Amino acid sequence: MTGDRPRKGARATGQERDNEGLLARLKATGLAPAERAEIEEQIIARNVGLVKSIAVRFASSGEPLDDLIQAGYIGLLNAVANFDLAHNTKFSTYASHLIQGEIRHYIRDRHSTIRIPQWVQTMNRRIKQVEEAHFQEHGRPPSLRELADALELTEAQLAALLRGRDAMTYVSIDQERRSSDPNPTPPTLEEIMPESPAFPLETRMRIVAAIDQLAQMQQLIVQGLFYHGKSQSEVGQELGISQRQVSRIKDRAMDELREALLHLGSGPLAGSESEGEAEN
Amino acid sequence: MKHTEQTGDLLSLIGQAIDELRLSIGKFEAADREHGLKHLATVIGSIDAYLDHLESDPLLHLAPLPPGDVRASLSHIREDLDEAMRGCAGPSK
Repeated sequence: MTGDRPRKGARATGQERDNEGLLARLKATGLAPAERAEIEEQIIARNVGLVKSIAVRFASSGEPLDDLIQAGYIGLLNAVANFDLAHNTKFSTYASHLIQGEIRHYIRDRHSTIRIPQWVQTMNRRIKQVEEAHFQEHGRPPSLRELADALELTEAQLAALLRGRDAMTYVSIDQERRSSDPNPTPPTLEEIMPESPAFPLETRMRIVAAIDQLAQMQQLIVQGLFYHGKSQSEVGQELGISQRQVSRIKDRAMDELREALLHLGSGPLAGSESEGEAEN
Repeated sequence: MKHTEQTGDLLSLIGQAIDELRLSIGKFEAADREHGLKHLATVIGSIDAYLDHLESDPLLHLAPLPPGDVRASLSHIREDLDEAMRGCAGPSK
């Protein structure tokens, strides 16, 4: 965010016009990049006071004033990028709205535990895996239903999760998206995870994520046994048991694995990396 | 604690846990919270039991997997399931 601070020396000069005049120049076609940058800096410099005055109003949030001002600068930059002269609105009115919005988002992000939970990250990774596997097999991305089936979710739950995933991206500083939507409103947690008293989505996700993590461990074991393993007699010596006992334990584990593989084809293990590895 | 063939290895634990977790999803979907929670509790209990003798699991030596990593992963899964149980542990309908 520090990169958004206006540079020194971009102060307005005596011959400078008002915000709207500068914006009219900025929106004109055929400007050289350096000229555009110069005008943008002039507009920003003119409105530093506006950003600070708005940030001060949020001082009671407990966040450092400098951070609030930095957030406000993003709103100001968005206002410069998106202000439409055709709308008969003063730039300062428009910019104030966006500056306040950015500061509010910043405070909300800091205070509302919008930390991405581990299980959401796990689910996002699973979604990506299933999408890639499906694309490789069918030459197209999966439909919502196909994706939901593979993840053992309902379509509504998956849609909620995808919205949540977008929201997590959205609240990060994604300049490209912000330039097309300067004041995005992240969905609430209720929108991301609609509550069902019988089986809350978060609970379901946690269970599915646990299955996924277990499947990954399974994969690691199989890889280890086939490619990096110690000999049975070595292990027997280390543990003080016979090689025969070690062998039996390994055989039984392999039986368990074979049985687990029979379940493949549906559910969280389907299409995961463990499938191919285990078959090896 | 010395490992015996009865105490179970990591692959067995994983296989059973995945089955139990799937069953729990099915129960919760059928609004049978009591049994859904029971399956979750079974998995947590199995993880706890396994953690007690993790270092002596021959599979970890055969693979070989660092016991500390496995313990951390299982503990993390256990915590997640514990949270899941809390999320469903409200009053029955």
